Amino acid sequence: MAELDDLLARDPFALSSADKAPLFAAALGQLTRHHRDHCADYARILDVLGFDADRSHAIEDFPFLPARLFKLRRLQSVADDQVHKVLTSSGTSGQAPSRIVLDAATASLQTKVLTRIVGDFIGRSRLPMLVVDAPGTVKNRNSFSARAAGILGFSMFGRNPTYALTDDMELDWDSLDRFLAAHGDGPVLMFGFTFMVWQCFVEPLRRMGRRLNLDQAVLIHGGGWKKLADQAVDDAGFKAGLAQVGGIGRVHNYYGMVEQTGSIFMQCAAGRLHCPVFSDIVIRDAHLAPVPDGQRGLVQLVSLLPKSYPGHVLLSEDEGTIIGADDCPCGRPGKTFTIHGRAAMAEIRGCSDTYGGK
Amino acid sequence: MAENSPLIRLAGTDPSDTRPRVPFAPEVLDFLADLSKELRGNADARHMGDVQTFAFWCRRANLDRLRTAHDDGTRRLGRGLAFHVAPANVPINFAFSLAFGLLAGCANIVRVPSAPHAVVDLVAQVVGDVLARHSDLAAANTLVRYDAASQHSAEFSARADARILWGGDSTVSALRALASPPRCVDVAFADRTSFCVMDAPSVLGLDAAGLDRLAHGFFNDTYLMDQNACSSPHVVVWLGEGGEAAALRFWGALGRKAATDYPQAPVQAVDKHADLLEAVLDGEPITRARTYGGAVTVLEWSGLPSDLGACRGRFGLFRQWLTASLEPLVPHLDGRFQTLTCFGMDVDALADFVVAHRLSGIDRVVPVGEALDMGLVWDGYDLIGQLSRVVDARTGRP
Repeated sequence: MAELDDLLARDPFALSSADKAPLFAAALGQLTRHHRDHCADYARILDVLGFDADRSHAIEDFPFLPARLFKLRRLQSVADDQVHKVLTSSGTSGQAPSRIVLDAATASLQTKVLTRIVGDFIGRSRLPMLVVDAPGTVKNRNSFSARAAGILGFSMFGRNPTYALTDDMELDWDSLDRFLAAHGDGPVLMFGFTFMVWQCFVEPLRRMGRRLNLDQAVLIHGGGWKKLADQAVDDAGFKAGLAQVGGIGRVHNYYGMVEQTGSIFMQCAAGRLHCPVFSDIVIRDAHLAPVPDGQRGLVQLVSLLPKSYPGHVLLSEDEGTIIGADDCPCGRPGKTFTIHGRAAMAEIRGCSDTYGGK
Repeated sequence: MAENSPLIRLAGTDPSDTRPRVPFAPEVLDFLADLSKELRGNADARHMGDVQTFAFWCRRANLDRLRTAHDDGTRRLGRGLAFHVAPANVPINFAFSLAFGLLAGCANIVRVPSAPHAVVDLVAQVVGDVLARHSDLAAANTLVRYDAASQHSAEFSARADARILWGGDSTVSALRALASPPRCVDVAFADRTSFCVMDAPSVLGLDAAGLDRLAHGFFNDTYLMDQNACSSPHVVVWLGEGGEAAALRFWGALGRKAATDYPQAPVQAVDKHADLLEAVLDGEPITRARTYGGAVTVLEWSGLPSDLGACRGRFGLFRQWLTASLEPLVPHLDGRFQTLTCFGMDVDALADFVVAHRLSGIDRVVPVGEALDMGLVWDGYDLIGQLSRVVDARTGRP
């Protein structure tokens, strides 16, 4: 797996699009053959779709699995005795959770790659960390949520994480005051889920008319815009709110799926989400055909990390647009894109449900 | 159960006069023909295909034809008060349901779906306007809207001489659990599934126009209802020589039709792809999945799966099976099967096949293109017969 190992060893933004494309397609072929050879269900899917993994293909030609398939089925490419842990994401309430089977190598790779990607944006030094969430979120190991996974994953970039909220999701002034007294003048790392940051941090501070001294903070946030879109808060409004309540000027959204933990897409200062060398995206239309750059469509996420489960090529239900390649003002090479949120639900016709929506 | 939840009356009045009429009573035909004319002349309804289909069905000439066809020489009267619970997602069916009750000679309370819908709202208003001109019927018929969780269904059930219940299995079971008078008759439209048989040589023999007509008919049977109608086919059986070539030809034509005429939403495409992969993981005997034109996906079976009736697609996901004989289908055709659509086959021969093999399933055999056509015989029920009673007279033993 020469190309795969080569890419995984690279710096995240080491390659231009043109240099990356052949390496990435070759690496993806290697990974696809690995899953074909180690996951019988996946081999059957390739067979039914008529995909010959022994030939070379462009990345948009590899079969994609709807991410929700991992809610319906446990798919794995490792023997049971190699399973290190099974990550479950609760997702929307009432839905079955995704079950992501990790072996030690894949789990370790996720951490390494995440470190390199995030480090490219915030530097290598571990800053004092303020988590905009409650300590209870990570304590309940019985329901290991995507939020807890995110907090624990990003905690390795900071030190002495302080939780900004109480378990009732109110601002915890004792710990906030202590944190600000100790670190308020210097660079700090903040992390939180987009909606939590807005609802439990920005809004209460604005109501109180409080302004915290976080001028040198860098905030990383993710988890989706759906709830904020309902309140008509966009990326610009979000950033304006953070500047207002804390002078927080460096704000990085990230995009990714729990099914592809590690290979996240980070937003740069120019506001674009960046594909690192380890991952890529394809945008598809309503017939699932790839669309040219600049056109809106469904986001397909491709990651070279998943080795213990065949989740390397996933179709999301999010809509996005590719902005360009190798042309971002921030200077990072590679493909850049933006996310618009969830694809709209369609009105479904049929005669089987009298009461509807029940 | 929410007490005193509001009831919105969209047309007519709560039936005070529930005396039965004879089936196809002249005043009922007058009303329906009047309704047909209003709907066909309504500017807002002109672009609503389902409304026009209903209006065309209840035009005077068709009603006269139906009356003649249903005259079996017996004296009949309607059962009395019919309580209808119409389906949420096929909006026009409330109007068909009302018409069935009227033609059988019943007074009617029709509950329309609780969520507002342009088709329902428009047709309900026109029904109200036309009823106002037919005062004897206005006193015996009403359209109502109320929340499903309210007490009204129980109240109407307690008065009903017949109930016409549309919906899935769980909805029908919940409604049937409501107490009704001992002689009340229930006509329940539960979950059903359907399939299609095509004679391969006939498809291969079509000219280009004939092939387009076939694809158009099949498109209407399936995509117009997102393939969710009980009568929409999920499996296409190719019978006879040349099945593979016939299938390729047909799916290609359907693919071209659906690519332009089916407004597939991205989430539907994802659902369809997930359903495809789930079918593979479920172990259906699939040798290959192919898409045609982006909106048609076909799973090619090497044999029949163990649970044929459970294999359902959405948004244009079909299974196909090539065969020299229909006999292997026999053990699979249980009571879940409703409509058999066919092409290049004799409908009577297929209906005879159902009878000769004593099948629990298939109540209806129609040509491709007519799967969704409502009629007075539906889902295996003779609706006039079910919703009326026979007044038998005998001269006495000789």
